[in-house]
Amino acid sequence: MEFTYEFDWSVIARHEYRDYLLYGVAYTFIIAFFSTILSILIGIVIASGRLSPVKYFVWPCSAWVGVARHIPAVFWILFFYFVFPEILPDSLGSILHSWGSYALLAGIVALSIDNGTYVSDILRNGVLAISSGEREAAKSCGLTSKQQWVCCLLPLATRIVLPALANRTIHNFKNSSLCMVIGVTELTWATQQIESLSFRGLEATLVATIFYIVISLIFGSVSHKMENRLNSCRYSAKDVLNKPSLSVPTT
Amino acid sequence: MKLNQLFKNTLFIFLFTCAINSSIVNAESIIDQVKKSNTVRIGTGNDTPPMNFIDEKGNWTGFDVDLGSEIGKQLGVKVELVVVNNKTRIAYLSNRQIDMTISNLSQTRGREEQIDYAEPPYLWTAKIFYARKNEFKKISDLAGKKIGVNQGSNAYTAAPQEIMKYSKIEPKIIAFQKNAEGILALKQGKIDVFCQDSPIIAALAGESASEFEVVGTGFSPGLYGIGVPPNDSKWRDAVSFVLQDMIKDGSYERIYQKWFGEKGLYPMPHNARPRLPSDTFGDMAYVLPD
Amino acid sequence: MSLDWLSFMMIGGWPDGPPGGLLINIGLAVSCFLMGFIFAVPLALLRMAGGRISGFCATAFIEVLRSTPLILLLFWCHFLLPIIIGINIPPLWSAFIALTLYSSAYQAEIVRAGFSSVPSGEVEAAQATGLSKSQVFINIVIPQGLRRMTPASASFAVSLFKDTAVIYVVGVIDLMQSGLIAAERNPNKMLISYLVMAAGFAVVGMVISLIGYKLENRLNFTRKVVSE
Repeated sequence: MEFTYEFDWSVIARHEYRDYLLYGVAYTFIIAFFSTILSILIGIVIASGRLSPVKYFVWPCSAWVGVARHIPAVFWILFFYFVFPEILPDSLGSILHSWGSYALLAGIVALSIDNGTYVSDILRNGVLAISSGEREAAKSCGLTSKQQWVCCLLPLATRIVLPALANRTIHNFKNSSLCMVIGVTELTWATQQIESLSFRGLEATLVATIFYIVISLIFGSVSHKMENRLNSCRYSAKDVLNKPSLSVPTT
Repeated sequence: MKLNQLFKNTLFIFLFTCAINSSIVNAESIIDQVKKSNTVRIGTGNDTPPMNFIDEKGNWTGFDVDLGSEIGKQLGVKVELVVVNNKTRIAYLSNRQIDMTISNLSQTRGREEQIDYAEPPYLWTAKIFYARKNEFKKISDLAGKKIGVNQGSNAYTAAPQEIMKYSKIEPKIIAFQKNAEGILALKQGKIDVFCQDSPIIAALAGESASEFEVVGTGFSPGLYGIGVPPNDSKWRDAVSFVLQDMIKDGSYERIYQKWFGEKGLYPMPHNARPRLPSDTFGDMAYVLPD
Repeated sequence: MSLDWLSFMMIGGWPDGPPGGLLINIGLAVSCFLMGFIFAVPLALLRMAGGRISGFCATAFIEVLRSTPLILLLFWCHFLLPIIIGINIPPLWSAFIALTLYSSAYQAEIVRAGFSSVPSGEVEAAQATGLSKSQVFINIVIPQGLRRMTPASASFAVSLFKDTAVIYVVGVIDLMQSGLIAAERNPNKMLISYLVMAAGFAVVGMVISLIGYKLENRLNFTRKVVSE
């Protein structure tokens, strides 16, 4: 083993390199935040399409999920940046091409498409996981179909899907690093940029890696806490049956 | 805090390993290592036609690759090609993971501080601004425009420097991972100019070259040098002498003709061979006398 | 898109030259999945039942790898591992190392979830019949755990195959890279190159999904038979 690398932490302290890292962190959060929001919207649309009673909504959505979940995120990113404006009408395409922030938008949309298919799967499974007993119970209480969803089924489903959704969000946060391939100046791009200017990328890469790990772990533990909390205030049918005294007010 | 402990420990172990290793200093010259192992490790890129690229048969080829294998032949050792990219080529050299790099590496002062170069630079090109036809007349028109570069190319610093000579408005630099992506972005209008060395641009533009033109003239010398690890003058001399021998005995010329000659794969309009000023020396190759 | 470019994107120069294209993606996905599984089982066991220090190390290893973006892991293995161990790693090998680390961490969690999902009643029942701890583990926990983790493993296999697309950033000539090369050399056929890339990933991914689905059904079937 021979090792001649000497750490020089002054590299990341120099203001131009530090700025790359700070802007990188900001862009990473922007991409992660907006693509997560957008992917949840996409997921809701696709999931309701797949669950809808209308056949013409079901199969396009199912087909889309079947195909899109096998396509890599980095492909979507390059596709949206380089190819998508080409297949639009010329005038619209050239507007997108010449728009300075298009790389950022393309990255966000691409990650949303990628994450959206997973989110739709999670949501669909969440709704399907609500037992038919719970549905019937809601119905027999005399709730309208809208009330059933809003008051009973959706809150239940939320509780079921939350852990998986949190997992996907962490994954999506990590995937934001892929946007470097189209020149979005996010954190991973910044480490490469520092490497190419100072020839010392190791320090910056170490800092970036620790950043990703810390954020992922924090988010993971927060979502874990939230999950525990939701579960602790949950009374399932079984609990109520076992402890009838709970439902009888004592004087 | 458990997590906190975790990070501290991992970081500590990592830094500790590094510290142990860094105390080992290697004093042997690379030339001895190369002779002993009978192989020379040459770092070359694989995404920059015509210098180094993958052809449609999947073979690794290009001017740099041919030059590298010829140098190996002249040294009398086997060549082990190592893939580098524009960002790793310097770090690999300074860590002595490779014995030399032949990878469209322009000589710059910043790089000279990190590594050494063999004499002379083997291909003399220049950075140019490349734009769509009839958009810009001179370099001063590029103020405040979107300039595309390849991440790891010194165009990142050279291009704004050149433009700022004429104007106070800073251009916006967009750094792509591959040169080809830069050309594509230029064609699509995502950037206004692409800045890179002239032979790379010529090869990448290929058939669509008629849609583009060069703005102004070449501005920053792109003198491609063979990079060698720093502080090993024995090895640096060995490589320099082999390169100069190749220029003298015509094997350099053969490779040059194959790629950039009139009947070559990528004919180059100007003479990019290393040479001495013609008003003093006529047309004499840049080779040091014995 | 000429046939030459199509074969370049699928198999590279193979069998005469170096393999490339889709072949690399499939080969890497399969080998890294298997290698990852080999590392995942001991990791999961250490995390579940290891001592304080070994358990902590396994947990740290898994969590660190799971929270690092794959592209950064790839940069570590490609740029920084060579600096640390002082030998050059060709891009394909660094991709292999990175993907193996990545898949071992993810699969360790899958294996752990699989083992811990075996109902405690079954374990207790087995212990009551007088089986030793290791016998219980080998005969009850492992077969059931493996069966229970099949769906998660299958969907991880699909996502691992997808993730092999990223390795092009370190210079491996995989399907992604060869598609981009094809697109840049034939600028007016860019859309077709991209479609071929997408089709390559989608078709192989669907085949993997299908295999996983079949496997799942078959295992469920045997379980039903056993339980009846």
